[in-house]
Amino acid sequence: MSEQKTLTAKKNELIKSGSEDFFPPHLAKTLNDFNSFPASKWGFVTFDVKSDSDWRHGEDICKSLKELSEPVARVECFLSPLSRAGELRDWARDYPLRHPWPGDQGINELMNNTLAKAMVLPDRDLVSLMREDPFGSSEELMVKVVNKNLIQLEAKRGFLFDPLSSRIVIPLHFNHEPMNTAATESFVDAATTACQGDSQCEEQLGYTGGFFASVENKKQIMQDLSSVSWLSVLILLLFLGSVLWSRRGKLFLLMAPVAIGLVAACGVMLVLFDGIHGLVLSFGAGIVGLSVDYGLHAAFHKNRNVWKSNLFGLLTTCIVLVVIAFSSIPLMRQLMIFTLVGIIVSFVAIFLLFKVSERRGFDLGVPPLKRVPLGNKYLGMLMLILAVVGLSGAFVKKFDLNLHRLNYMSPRTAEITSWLHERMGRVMPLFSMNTEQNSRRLLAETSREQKFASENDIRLENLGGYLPSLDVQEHHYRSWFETNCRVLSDPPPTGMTESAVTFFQPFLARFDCQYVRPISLEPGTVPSYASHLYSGSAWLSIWMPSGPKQEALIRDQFPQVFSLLDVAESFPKSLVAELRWMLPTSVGIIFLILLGYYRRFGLAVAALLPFFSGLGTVFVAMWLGKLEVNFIVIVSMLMLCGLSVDYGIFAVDRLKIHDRNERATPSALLFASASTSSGMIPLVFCSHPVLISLGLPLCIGILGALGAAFWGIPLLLGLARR
Amino acid sequence: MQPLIHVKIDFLKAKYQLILKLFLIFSVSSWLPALLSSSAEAAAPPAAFDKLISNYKELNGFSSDFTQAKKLTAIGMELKGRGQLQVLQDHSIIWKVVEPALLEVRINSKEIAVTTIVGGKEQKQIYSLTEGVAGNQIAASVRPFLDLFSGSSSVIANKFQIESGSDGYVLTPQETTKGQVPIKKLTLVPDPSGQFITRLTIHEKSGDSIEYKFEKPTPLVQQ
Repeated sequence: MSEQKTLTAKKNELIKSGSEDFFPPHLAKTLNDFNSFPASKWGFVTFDVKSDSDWRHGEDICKSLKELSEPVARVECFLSPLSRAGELRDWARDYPLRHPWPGDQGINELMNNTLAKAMVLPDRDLVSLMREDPFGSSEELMVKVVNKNLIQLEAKRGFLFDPLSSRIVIPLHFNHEPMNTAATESFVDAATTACQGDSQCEEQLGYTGGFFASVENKKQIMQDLSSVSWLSVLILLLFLGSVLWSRRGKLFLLMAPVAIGLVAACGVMLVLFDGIHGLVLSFGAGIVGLSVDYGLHAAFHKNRNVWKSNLFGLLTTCIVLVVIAFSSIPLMRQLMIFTLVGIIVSFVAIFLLFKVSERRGFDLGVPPLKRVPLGNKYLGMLMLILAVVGLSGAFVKKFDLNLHRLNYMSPRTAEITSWLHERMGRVMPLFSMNTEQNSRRLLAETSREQKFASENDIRLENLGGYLPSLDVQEHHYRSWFETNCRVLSDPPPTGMTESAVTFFQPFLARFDCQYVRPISLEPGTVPSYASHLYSGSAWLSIWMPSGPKQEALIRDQFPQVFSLLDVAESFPKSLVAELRWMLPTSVGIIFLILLGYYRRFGLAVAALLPFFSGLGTVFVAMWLGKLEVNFIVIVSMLMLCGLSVDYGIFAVDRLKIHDRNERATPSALLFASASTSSGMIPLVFCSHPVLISLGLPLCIGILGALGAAFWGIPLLLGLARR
Repeated sequence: MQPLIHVKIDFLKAKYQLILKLFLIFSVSSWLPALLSSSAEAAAPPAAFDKLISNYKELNGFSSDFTQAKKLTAIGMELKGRGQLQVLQDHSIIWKVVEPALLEVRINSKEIAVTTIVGGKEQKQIYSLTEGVAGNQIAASVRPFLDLFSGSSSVIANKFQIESGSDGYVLTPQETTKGQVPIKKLTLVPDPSGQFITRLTIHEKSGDSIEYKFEKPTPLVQQ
């Protein structure tokens, strides 16, 4: 068991899944820093209440969640000072830092209030807690608990409640990372179990927040993959079966060089980056797999006159990868390096496989197909039109690279998330992180934030809401203890009853000028009631504007604030800006290389036709299906670029070097496209946006590229000759 | 050989004995269910208790001044106070404490809201009355008040065994509710006329107790 855990831990270290690699370094740091705050790790469980029985369900759900509670998460329901006993003791202790000495009459009033409550409330634990809170500080703290959430809620029947939607809201503050979906799933299971099989109760449950989104995405992907796995197996069997049935089983030997290429790529990644991102492994493997096309080309041509074509095919593919490797986005850089290493090593391994086989007298060649698509001028025209669409669309098409579009949400989660955004006034909360190490300056700044928020009626959760500035703390502290270190007990204030002295004895016994001190926020002195805002090196401020006007006010006064949307949108903005020069540059360099290879303008243009036709086919299909070009589609288009230029070179060489009636090249192209598509077709039937975005455009693009290779290039070259 | 007449007498004796036994068994079995059922169900509250509680219902909302003394055995002290109790028509309760400080407690079947005045400002805290939740002693302890002053003695009888004591009544939680309620027993002392409760003492399992002394209730002015 421990060996298995060690292996799992090692695997988790080597294969990364974080989102930092999506962003340039300075933004990745911002995101990383933000995620280190306990306050950033939250989720909401919601439950719609329409009747008394629904409140009882809510209570069962709360009970069930609380059983899982510490240390996995704090569950905010059945609100009571008892659930925050530790924080309350610190909060009660620090009362003199927040409030000036109220005078003998004032202090007696506070204590008598607490005594009156202790008399009335028949909960022994609560009464015991009150003995350590003579000033009734628990009310202050509980008000903060209610008000610190992203939306304005009220306390009702022990819950946070939204009266507008008649919905119980149970905030969860997690102690684990979002990627630890198993821990988050246990809360979902607990809430569902509490419904005891009542389907209506389960329908009234809702979840929102990043942690629950990770669970939902993972579940949907697993569900999709398992539901299409039969299709994947079927297609694979069909493909393998057709290869074997057509007596071309030797082609399976080409998988070995591809595997070598993948292993080499993984090795390089481990050396350079100490690990491989999961997305790099997934997508990179697909792109490296394209190297099998060179082997197919050689196999169908029985290893004759093809290696120059293959080499230029490889070169043109590598150009794209090298250019994009200059991206400032770490994920893109890693993907390109992985693919570059993999594809080059695979290519060399395939070449050596053929050469060694030839020397040993083993023929890796396979016969071409007996029937291949014939030229067709109408289909050729269509391909040319699609190429024009592809070329123009590449410049005109708007990309929707918002990463949220790749998020799967069930209809219920979408409804709850929409409700949350609506209640937040359709503006995201804003954050700022203060790394000031000088406590006086830090507390002065957080007090300034509080003052601004108060003047503009903006909800703010920050350190200043829990601790005033050091100047104010010292002023209040002096008002309590300047003349007497044991101000409440030696002697007690005038008018303080014997009952109060006895009842509050646990507090009074330690309450003196040493027990209470102005808080300097040195390491180890961070008060527990504010620790959710502290990451270990910085303090978080959470602004909750009610609308765009307040948001503008905050941004104007505090330019360093950011929202998670700002960070998330920086990725697509960076990527689009880079792609706008990288893609034309890549295509330009490829064209120059082709020009050098063919020494004829027309042939170089023809070789690029499959790429643009493939692109055009994708754009048309997405326009018809009302789909957006997202980040995953961009990555699949990189794969399309790699294979389509190869198709173009093979098709042009077929007409230039071989006979236009030869069947080896079309056979190789058909097998190449079939092998790539067979892996992608099942993804078309999935529900998760990431999976569909990968499979659908690539399958469609391959059709367009293939069509251009079969019909477009012959027509174009024929027109050029005339 | 016994004479025939002796045999006949012996037979008759045996027959009557059998009939007698059957009669006894039958008669026992006829009242046994009644006996068993009456102890299995909540015993009907004494008539006087029933009258005492239903008087509150007839008032249809009342107020009553009270003094209160809470004994905290763990620290060996007593907290004293006074105030006014109001029971409204909807059976919710307002507990206005005047001493040691101004405090208002509003209790209904859903929650208990505690309002204090500090430095001239009102501060409110709400506690859920969710019964059955581990640790929520407030709900289980406050319920008897709601039941007592709602004027429903049958509800009380379902939850408590009611026994007549020397000067009043002793209410002990039924077996079925013992585990849920932190109360060991309640003692009620009516006024000499049996019209209203003058003294109510809650004895908690923890050893603490709260004694309330009530003045005669006056009907609330209907608005």
